[in-house]
Amino acid sequence: MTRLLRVLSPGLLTTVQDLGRPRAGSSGVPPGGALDDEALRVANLLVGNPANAAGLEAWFRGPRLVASAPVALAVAGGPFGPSPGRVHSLRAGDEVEIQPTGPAARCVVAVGGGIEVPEVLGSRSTLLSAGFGGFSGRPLRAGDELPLGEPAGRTGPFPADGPNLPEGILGEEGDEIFLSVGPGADLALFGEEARRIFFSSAWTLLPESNREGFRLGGPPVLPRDRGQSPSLPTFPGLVQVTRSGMPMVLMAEGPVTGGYPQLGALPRVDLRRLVRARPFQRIRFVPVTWEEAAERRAARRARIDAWERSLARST
Amino acid sequence: MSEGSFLVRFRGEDEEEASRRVLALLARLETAPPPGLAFARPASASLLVEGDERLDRASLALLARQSGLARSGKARRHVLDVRPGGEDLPRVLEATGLSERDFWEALCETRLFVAFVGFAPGFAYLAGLPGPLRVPRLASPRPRVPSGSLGLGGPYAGIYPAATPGGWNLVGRCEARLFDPDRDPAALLAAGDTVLLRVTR
Repeated sequence: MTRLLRVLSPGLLTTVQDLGRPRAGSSGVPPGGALDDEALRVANLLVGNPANAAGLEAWFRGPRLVASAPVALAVAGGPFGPSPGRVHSLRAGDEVEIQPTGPAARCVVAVGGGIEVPEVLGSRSTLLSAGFGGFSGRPLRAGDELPLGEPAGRTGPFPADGPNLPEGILGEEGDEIFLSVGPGADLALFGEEARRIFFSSAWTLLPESNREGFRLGGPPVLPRDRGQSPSLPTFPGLVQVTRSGMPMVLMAEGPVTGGYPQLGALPRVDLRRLVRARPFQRIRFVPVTWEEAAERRAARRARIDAWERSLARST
Repeated sequence: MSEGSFLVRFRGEDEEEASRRVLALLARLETAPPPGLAFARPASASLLVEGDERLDRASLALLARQSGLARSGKARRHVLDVRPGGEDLPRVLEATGLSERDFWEALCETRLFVAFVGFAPGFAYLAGLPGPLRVPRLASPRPRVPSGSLGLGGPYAGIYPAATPGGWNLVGRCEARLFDPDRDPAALLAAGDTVLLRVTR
């Protein structure tokens, strides 16, 4: 029997994503994949999938789905129901609605067996800007049928209550979040006043933010020289400043080269926390060195590894 | 410049000369990868190099200075057919002071090379334009250019693989499929490849 999930309503912007195409930059193809790669990894492991199985990324309003066969489902990255951070078991014919339980922006949904759309350039992630990959290169629509793979190993029942999730996996709490930024290739183009403005202001995510870039609302941050910059390599987490002085954080679908001045970059541990930011949260930036960023990266990796081991022991 | 990656920049040089040096360094890294190297890709007068803790900035800098003008063994040659005629062709002819015939003759005689691929999947920045063929980019980009448009922008020529926004001067159309996600390789043009344009009518 074909296992599939049918889309009853698609939500605001729901796409099939896995961990993307990290080595496609030489072809001008952005890495793409789930903006919150860590949340996808955790959700996948909860339902017994390999870490990079394809799931869904949902923005603001999630999809309503119906299962054709029993399937395990888990949500991470944001406080979206049902039972965020826990395994939810669907029987054949069950419907499920992925909806925020409070102020929330984005989440990922993993399903047992993974979503088995065809791979393009070695990945099942959707590259919206170019219209390929994932489910026909586009966001989900009502009526779409998502084929599911066979679950590896366990088919359930799954422990609904696993070991304690790593901090932040269900979103960033609080009115303000502090994110580190390492020095960028063009930091020297920004004078003391511009840097002071960037690191002392409270920023908000503008509504035009999307999978290519998150735009920040606040005072202008202007480099000393606003002439034409050459096209430098770019990557997710990069903080570029547009001609009007608006800082923009490049995300997974952002172009792989660009001519905006590169002020800095968010280390991945904090890029994920930016993805988990909720509407109206104020964002503040803290300068760090790349050595400090490497230490936090190692610590976070150890935390996730420890959680994975405890999950394996509990099942 | 980031976790596990370095940016090698060639400053203060003519962008075309810098592109050749970037490609030489890339070729060197591909044939004799230093310990810890995972990946490298070029942009304008720059090279992003990714690797682990073993990758050493000083040895990269040394390699950059030493690379000379090595060529990659993987470089391919392409001849791309172009149909003259683009919205900006009259203005480009006026700016260059060339007749249409002389313009196309000069362009087709030029051995262009792919300095890097970026901006969009399959979009190759073609360097090697002689001075008389260089025109400034548009003040404001068009929100959408026809797929396959041949454009000129500063020191580069380029063919838009899809109908994306574009800030370059449109002078012709190329039918070649520069990017196909279902093909191997997906991108027709790669850094270091040479390109000759051939006019068809």
